[in-house]
Amino acid sequence: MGFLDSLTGRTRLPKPNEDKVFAMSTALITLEVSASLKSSGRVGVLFKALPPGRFDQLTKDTVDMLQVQDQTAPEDALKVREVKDDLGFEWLVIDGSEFESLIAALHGVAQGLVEEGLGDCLLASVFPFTQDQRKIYWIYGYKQGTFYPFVPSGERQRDNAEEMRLAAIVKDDLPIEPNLSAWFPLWGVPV
Amino acid sequence: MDRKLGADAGLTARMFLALFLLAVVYLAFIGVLLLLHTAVALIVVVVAVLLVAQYFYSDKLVLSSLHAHLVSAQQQPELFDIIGRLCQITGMPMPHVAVIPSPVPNALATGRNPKHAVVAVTSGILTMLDPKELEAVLAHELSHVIHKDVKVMAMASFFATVAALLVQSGMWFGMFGGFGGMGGGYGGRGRGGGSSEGQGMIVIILVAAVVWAISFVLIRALSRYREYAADRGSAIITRDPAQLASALQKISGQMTRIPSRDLRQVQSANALMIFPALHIGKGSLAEMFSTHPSLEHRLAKLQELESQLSR
Repeated sequence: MGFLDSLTGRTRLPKPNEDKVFAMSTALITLEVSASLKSSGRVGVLFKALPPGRFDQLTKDTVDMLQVQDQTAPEDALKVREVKDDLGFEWLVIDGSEFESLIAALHGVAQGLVEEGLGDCLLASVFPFTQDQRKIYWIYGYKQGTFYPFVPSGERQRDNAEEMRLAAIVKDDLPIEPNLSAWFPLWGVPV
Repeated sequence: MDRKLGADAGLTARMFLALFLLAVVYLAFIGVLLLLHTAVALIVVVVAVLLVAQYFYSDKLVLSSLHAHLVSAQQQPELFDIIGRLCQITGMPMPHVAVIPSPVPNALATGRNPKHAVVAVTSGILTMLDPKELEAVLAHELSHVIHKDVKVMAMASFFATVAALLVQSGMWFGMFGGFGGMGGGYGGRGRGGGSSEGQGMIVIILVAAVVWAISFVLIRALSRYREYAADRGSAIITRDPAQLASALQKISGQMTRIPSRDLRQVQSANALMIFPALHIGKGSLAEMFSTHPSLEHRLAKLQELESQLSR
């Protein structure tokens, strides 16, 4: 926020960074080996207030985009669905066994929205993992271009120690959000 | 194609004009003070110390005067969820969150920078608004934080406070036989230094009174422009200005029905509130002296934003 912006009271939202999400594909091995996390074969993209009608079209667009990829490897076909959460935010959930193609699809969706001038609507991507029966999430914030872990441990409780441990394990592979107060929880994620 | 709201050129221009005029008035004031070089420097220092203290403790001062208490994510999960997502959208750190135990629906933000920001809501607004409306109101408050309104307004009103203090202390001084040798000249006891100093003091107080009056109107105008800017910020963040419009209508409707005791309770922090506790008519003289634009004007602006977004 520049001096002039605050003088004139101008709100400028940070530009989304959709490219750093690829770092997760390299970090995956470290997470699997050193932290015994298993990918749930799913990613979710969290949006903020897409223009009316745009959300419904998103699934269709994504399916169209994915069909091109499916022709080469139909057995890895990705499934797409849309979810609206309790806070009125929209999610696009993509299922698939191949992690690489999940990330490629995720990046495709984000890039499409940025090209359309709707980059402000991109909020976060969520990568669900399992670790001994419990759910662990890695969240990618588009505004910051960084990742942070989210380990729910009960009703609105999170396991901060485990989160710190996970962040330390992959700190060389992933751009970790340095500001701990920006590690926003996402309670009740639909992924 | 870029489907987002940019800056409002008219609003930016008016904001600059208000700041420019304030700077002109203040520079003229400083000029007069320097020309007459009296002991005013002391008052400037006192005000500076006061304002710096207020600047650093503004959050605590306001919150304690409103009996606000900080809450945790466990106490107010929904509120934290909404603010958390808004912070993700704007890329700002999570502010402290406080609740004011009052049935009057209102919200405010204070703190000198985003790191020390506090967003406070009354318990009344929590029960009255639905989540989407509450989100719009909170986005308005976070916009105040993003725009550093506490800082800008503190800077803008520095010399106005100096002038006000000068006028007040000057009146007090004059009432108790001050003004140096004011009557001395006529009494034939010689026109010493005391006389000219006394006259100088009167000039300063008169100038200060004029500066106070002009800067008051300008600061209020600036405050209103910053409300428009925060409304716009809310629209940019939520992409849904209709929710803020709906929230403002609900809040204003409730405002006329509240008991007067609570009205007075919230009045000290009127300028910080999302909606002033006193009703202001559109285009009335009162609007010119008010910290907030009238509801009608705000709703009209929000409607404009809505049509821009859905174009």
